[in-house]
Amino acid sequence: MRAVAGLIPSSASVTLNGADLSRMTLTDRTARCLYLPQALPASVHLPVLEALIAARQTSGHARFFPASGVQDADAVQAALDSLSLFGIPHLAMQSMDELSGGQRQLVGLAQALSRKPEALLLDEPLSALDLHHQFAVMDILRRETAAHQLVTVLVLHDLNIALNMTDAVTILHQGQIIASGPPATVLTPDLLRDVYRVQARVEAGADGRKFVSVDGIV
Amino acid sequence: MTVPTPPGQQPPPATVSPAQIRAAYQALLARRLTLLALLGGAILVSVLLDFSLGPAGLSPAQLLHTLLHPSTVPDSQRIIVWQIRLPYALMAVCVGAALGLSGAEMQTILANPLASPFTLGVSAAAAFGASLALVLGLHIPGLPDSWLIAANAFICAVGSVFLLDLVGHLRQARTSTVVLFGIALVFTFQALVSLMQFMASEDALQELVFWTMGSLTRTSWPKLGLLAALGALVVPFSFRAAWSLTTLRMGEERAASLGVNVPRVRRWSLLRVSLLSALAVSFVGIIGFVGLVAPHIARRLLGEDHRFYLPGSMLAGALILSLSSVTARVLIPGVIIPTGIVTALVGIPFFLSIVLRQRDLS
Repeated sequence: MRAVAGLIPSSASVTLNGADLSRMTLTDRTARCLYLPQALPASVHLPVLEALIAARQTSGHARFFPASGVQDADAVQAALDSLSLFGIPHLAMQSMDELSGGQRQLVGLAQALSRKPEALLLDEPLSALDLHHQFAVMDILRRETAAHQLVTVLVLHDLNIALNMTDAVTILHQGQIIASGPPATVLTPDLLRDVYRVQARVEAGADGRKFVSVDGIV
Repeated sequence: MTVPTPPGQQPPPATVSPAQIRAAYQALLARRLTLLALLGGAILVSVLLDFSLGPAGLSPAQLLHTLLHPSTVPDSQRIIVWQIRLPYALMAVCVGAALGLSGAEMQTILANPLASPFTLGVSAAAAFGASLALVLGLHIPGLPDSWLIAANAFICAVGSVFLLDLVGHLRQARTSTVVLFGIALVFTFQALVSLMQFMASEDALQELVFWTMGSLTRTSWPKLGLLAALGALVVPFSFRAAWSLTTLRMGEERAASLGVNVPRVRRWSLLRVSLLSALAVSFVGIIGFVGLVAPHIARRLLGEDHRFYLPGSMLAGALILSLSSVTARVLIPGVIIPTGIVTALVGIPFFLSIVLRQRDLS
């Protein structure tokens, strides 16, 4: 994913909506195709609102002195919109170093979406979230992906979320692509045994939602 | 990597309106500008004190008269005011600001709260450069010795930072490795200075020891002008990079993914602060702790939005050094103690409190 986002050198060519990313400058490329690292945003002494404003201002230079650009209404509005999207506007004036890990992960996601990319590459975006927020974030990501015609790629460990909330899954095992396709056809007991080394069944709940039930390890 | 959301930190129902947040943010910005102005005011007071105190015991009226009508007062009085008091007081501000800014940028680009021109070897390298000039008795016809010493110190100091950058660049080293290498440089140059001291003649040794103490008494108008000019050249570039540096604080990989060209930001920043801190140190000698402590004060007061953090570090550094300069004059009546000694004594309590606070957090 880092290679796709242009953060590590790669000889492969990547095309997004007809544009060749590999021929773009890093600034243009990251503006269209945004990679969100697994590491949470550092807990620095900085209000959440400013963390979001900063994330949108990186490609441009700061105007000369603090006095100018301080009341940049657009930047503040975009930051607020993005915070509202994730239901955390009440955190706006809190300092990043006062937040829990999960809250910082939400701020990181808000930073990413506030830049309005065309493609989102998220490395374990749910790792620090509780169950409620895992589902809330997946819901937001699905809505945003549909609303803005995004390409959203996630690295996930949670098979139940992969089963129910994604359009396609790709299984990577020891650096190789093992299988790729719609989640229901890819995530089979055979694959779970070979890749995850568990004896498991994929069952359907009463409402048709699928879940993986693990009986034991192999 | 899992950091569970602790229970009890569940978000309360979001009842904050955007208007309230805007108002709160405006209030925060206003408070920061006020704090910057207060720091500026404190510097002004400190400079006035620095200017008016001293062994000569000139009255404020005499000082003002000398400032406004230098040709009408006795030579001795004019020299005290124009060649000693005024340049010393202003040099304290300039050197403090330069070291404060250098420390602030170094701490950001190396993601390490202990980075500063002192802890990364800039000061030690400058001392080695000065010792070469002093002990080997270098002379260049037409160039005053004090300039030769400063030039030697400057070249060594800048050279050491480039060595630091080279290691980071060639080995694709992590920032912690670069900091470790900086500390290795400190010890290397200190050893080399000791070697020079061992070989030095008695006179040169005395001069060298005094040089390493760091003193504003080496100030002259041309040196002050040169440092101020470099500062005026460099500071706008630092302020322009404020957003990139703020984003870099949130993590190197994250900054890169948000469009910050991390290697470029880091290189230019290092170039800026190495020139600035090297020049400051080569003019006044080793002044520790200002570059380390000033950024921490600014961070506590103003947060890490670099639009405020960078100027805040400069002002905090200028204030500390100016106050140190005042202290250096009044501590023992009639004697001006080398400022570097006072700065270290003032700096150590700050330093300890920061270290202890960080242990509390983890």
